[in-house]
Amino acid sequence: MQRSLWALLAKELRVIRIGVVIGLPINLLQAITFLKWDMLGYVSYMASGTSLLALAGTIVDDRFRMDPFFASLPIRRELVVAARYLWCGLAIALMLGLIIGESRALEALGILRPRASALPATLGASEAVLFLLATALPLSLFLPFHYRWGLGAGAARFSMAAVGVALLGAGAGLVGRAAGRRPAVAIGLFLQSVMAALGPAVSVLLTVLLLAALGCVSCLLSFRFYARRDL
Amino acid sequence: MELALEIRGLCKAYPGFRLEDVAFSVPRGYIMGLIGANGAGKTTIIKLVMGLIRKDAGCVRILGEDHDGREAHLRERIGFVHETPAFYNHLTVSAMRGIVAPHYDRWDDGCFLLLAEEFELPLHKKVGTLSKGTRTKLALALALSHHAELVVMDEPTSGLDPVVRRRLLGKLQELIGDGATSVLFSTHITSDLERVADYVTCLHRGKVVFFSTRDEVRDRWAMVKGPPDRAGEAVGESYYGMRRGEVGFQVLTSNAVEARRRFGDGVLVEPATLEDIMYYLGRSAS
Repeated sequence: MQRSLWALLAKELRVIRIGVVIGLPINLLQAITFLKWDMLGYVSYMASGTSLLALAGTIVDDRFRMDPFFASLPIRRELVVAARYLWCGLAIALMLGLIIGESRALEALGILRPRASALPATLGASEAVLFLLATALPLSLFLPFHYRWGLGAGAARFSMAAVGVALLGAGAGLVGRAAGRRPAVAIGLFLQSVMAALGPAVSVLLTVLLLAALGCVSCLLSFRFYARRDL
Repeated sequence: MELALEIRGLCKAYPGFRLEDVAFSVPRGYIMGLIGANGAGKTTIIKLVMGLIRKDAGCVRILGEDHDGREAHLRERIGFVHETPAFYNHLTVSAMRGIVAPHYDRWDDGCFLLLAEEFELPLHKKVGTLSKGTRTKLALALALSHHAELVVMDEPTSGLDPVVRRRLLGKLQELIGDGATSVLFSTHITSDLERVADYVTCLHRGKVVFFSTRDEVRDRWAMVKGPPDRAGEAVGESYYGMRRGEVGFQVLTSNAVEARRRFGDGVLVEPATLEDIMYYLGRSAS
């Protein structure tokens, strides 16, 4: 089983290697433009690149309709799902490491500093938390949709669900504003105060733990959905 | 007789299609052909055997073991060739081997290289550049390189030229030569089955019409051809798909002995081909 898991991870890298070899350096170079102006923009840009890297294998598999191929090998479907989650985790960790390294290196060179915002030049704890939230959270929410309905139909349903939640949030915001309150601001202030009280290290650790728990729940849901899907 | 595959009471329903109470078995060391028109349920049965879809009811036993919950373990002993083999088109033949091989305990690289040579597979060429025939040969080489005891193939010969088809069929006969390997393959090219199948299962609209040895099919099923005035005698449950013309009639029967007795010398009763059976059964149902 362990051998098959490693083989599936190696497969992931093998099928997307051209994208990694070309895409990753371009991504890192392009990100410098953002880093020059705004740390928030830099983190958002790298988060989208990371999500793409994490899902690249899924997209390639869907393109060549590989689901029945892997389901006909002597491996359990749960292992296929586990390998995909593991790959996503590795992609997030790798990219976090790279962007921390890149921002530090550029600061050390003293040539690039964010000007348009009051954020620091290097990636701090709150930016790392933001990066993790912007990558792991949507992936954890999306993957069960993918394993239940396939990539295309799953993405469509996930988008509809996301729009639905956004509309509900906007509605709640409007109601709150009419009542003289601003719930989004209140939530933001609350989270900031929690982070300040806990300190940066504990905040990052807590976020990582919460996201890991969410990832586990998401993975269990995906196991269940994929095991029952007709391929 | 030891069975490589045993299916009993297998059911699966889709919107607009229903596989009903399918039962047949493949003895070890033999080739079983699944025939039926498009939409008869051949691919559904093969997907159920491979565990790609979930059954609604019934039992599948592979190489003496119950299929339920052990699909992954049993696939170690099965070689599977999909109707349209899926590969990563941007990878080479050799890289595809590298993706499949680590998942099998009994993978034999030497065997793969021998098959690659026999099938003239270009190891360093990208899969996307291969013809349909070569892709099928690659799928077959991958399916046979872990010493599978049961080889399952879904329409492996469709779209192949006659030369490649004959070689593939020859390979199947070679495979069962050891007396331990068995083959289940579906096709709607009936001449392929006439050539190699030991057993035949005929499906029509999700139901098994018959399951028997090739020789039994030849003995039991016949075409009855005679003058128009005797067409009315071909009445009963064993007659299918009557065709009447100005010069005569043709009908399929599942009881050749009875037909010979009934019609005597004035009517021709000759063995039916599998194509005749498929055609007249389809005609009868419509």
